[in-house]
Amino acid sequence: MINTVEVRLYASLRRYYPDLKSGEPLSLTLDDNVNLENLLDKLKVPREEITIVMVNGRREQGSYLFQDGDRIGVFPLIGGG
Amino acid sequence: MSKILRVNMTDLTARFEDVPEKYRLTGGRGLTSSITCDEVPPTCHPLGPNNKITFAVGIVAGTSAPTSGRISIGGKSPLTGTIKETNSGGMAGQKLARLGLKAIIVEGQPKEKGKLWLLKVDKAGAQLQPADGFTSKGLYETYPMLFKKFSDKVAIIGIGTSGERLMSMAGICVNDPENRPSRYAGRGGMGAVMGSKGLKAIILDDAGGPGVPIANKEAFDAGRKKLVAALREHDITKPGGALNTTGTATLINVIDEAGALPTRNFSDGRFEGANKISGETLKETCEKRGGVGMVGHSCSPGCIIKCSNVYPRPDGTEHVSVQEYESIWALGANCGIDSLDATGELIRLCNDYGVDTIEAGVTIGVAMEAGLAKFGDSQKAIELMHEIGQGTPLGHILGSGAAATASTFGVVRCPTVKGQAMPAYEPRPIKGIGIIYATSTMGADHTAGYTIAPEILDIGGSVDKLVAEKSALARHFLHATAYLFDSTGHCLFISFAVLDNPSGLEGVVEECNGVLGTSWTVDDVLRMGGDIVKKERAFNKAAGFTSVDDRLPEFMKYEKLPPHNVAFDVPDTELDKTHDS
Repeated sequence: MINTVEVRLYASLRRYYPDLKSGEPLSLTLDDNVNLENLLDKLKVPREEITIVMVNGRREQGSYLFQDGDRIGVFPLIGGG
Repeated sequence: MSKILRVNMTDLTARFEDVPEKYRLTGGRGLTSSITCDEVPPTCHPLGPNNKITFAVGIVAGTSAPTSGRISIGGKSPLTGTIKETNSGGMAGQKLARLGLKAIIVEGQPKEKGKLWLLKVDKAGAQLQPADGFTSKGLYETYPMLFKKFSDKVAIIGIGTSGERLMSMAGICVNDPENRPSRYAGRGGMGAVMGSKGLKAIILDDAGGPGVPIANKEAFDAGRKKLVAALREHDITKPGGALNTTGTATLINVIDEAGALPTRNFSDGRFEGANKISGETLKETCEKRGGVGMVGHSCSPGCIIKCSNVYPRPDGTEHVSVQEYESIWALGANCGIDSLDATGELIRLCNDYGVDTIEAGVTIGVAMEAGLAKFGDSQKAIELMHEIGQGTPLGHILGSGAAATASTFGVVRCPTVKGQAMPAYEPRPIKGIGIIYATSTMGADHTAGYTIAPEILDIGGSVDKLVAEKSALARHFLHATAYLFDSTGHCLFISFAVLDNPSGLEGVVEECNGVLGTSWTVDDVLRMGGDIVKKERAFNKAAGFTSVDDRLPEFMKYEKLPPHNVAFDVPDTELDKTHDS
């Protein structure tokens, strides 16, 4: 079983994918045994720069297993108001 | 010895008073709320002769404490009918403090209706003079005229035409370091209160002023160093950190991704145009267009964080400062508008007419829902802003705020609490901030307790979704904010660093001890924050507010918000427990 997911990188993390257009997601196909932790390891972004990860707008644990069409948002530490 | 300046607009007198002992150890919101509670009848009309407006400096304002230039402005709000404190960056807080003043209290009302005055304060004293020639114009025209008359080294606290016309969305403007009319104590219609006093502007010239005495320099320096270190170390607040490089608007994409960015008048939690109005796009646009465009702009001297920006037109000339998260959201996503050039123009008009960007954006969102414009029609949104600026009958309805506009046009989806428009965080998916909106003494206000940090950003420790814990979290933040940030003169954004770093938190308390000669602990300061909130709640109760007013609008209980399809389900009984302690 193969899942297709979209990964969106935000703020300073975008620099690791300079060829992506602003707002364009990475489209990845993953085997269904790939969990969130494995996915983050595959990204070109150093793990220590990743602070917030959301799957479909929710915080999920590293053991989360993907479903087809999942939307993943990856952020560094950011704040505002 | 610091003084209080009392200005009576009925007999046009200004006199300096010693600071009463009961006010000696407070500042900012602690001081404005104490004076309002002591001197303003809770049932008075906010625009009548018995309301007062107080301008107060924070405890450490005017010192070398970092990121501490805020000025607090308080009284009874015409928008909410509650007590109000609204604060601003810019040049006024530090200059007022360095003039040896803790506060200016403005009371009474001019006998001549419609007559406006300027209050000039310098080391020689204070005097009122007619504002003839400085009224009925946009602030981008008025401020340069005032600087030309008084010197470009003064600070100006002023109102626009919306304040002159007593509109409930009128804010109070403070100049930034380059003398733009661009920083706002925006919330709660305090610009209308200033207008009702016949006061167009306060001009502060601190040349030769006595400065701020520091009782215990050693304690102050130690505290200052701890806070500076905390701010410089934290990834959000440090130079080159998140706030410094992409500004507050970095949150547009985060909150959108979380499904909590209020879109098209709070009917969706995601906006398909979010990236186009994001902090990332703002930064790229500043870099691409060049010219005067910049991020990392400072709104007041001595700020380490520097989260402001100057947004350029396509030709690199200045369009507006500042495009920040709340303003871009209110006039962007909330109106279905996906262009920073459009939000920039709408923000410029808010600055020019003197209105709160949050109240204006939410009001236009309500007007769009009422059919006065289509969502996404930025041209029509600009025309609606001009109605406010020109003071047409429609402009007066809009200028009265989101609740009045919803009521006028029969819009049920009215995102206000106690009459004040909600800021840029949807309370249905982010329930802690919903508790803050509902139970704050000020109406819907994210700065009353910025729970967003632990709720979304993973700062200060994660919290789970249990309601009781959310309630406790909200209470803690309400109390901490009232004193640590709103009463010290520090910006709320130091919270990112001090909530993650106990040393930074101690630093803030030690700075206060240094200035005042006290020996407070962190616990003392949290308790005093709680005392301020209690006092404000007592004022509101005497003004007629009950627990029934501590609620979110009804539609949020039965309308499920996409994409998470959740309603606001915190029980009323839990909301009522927020202020139990």
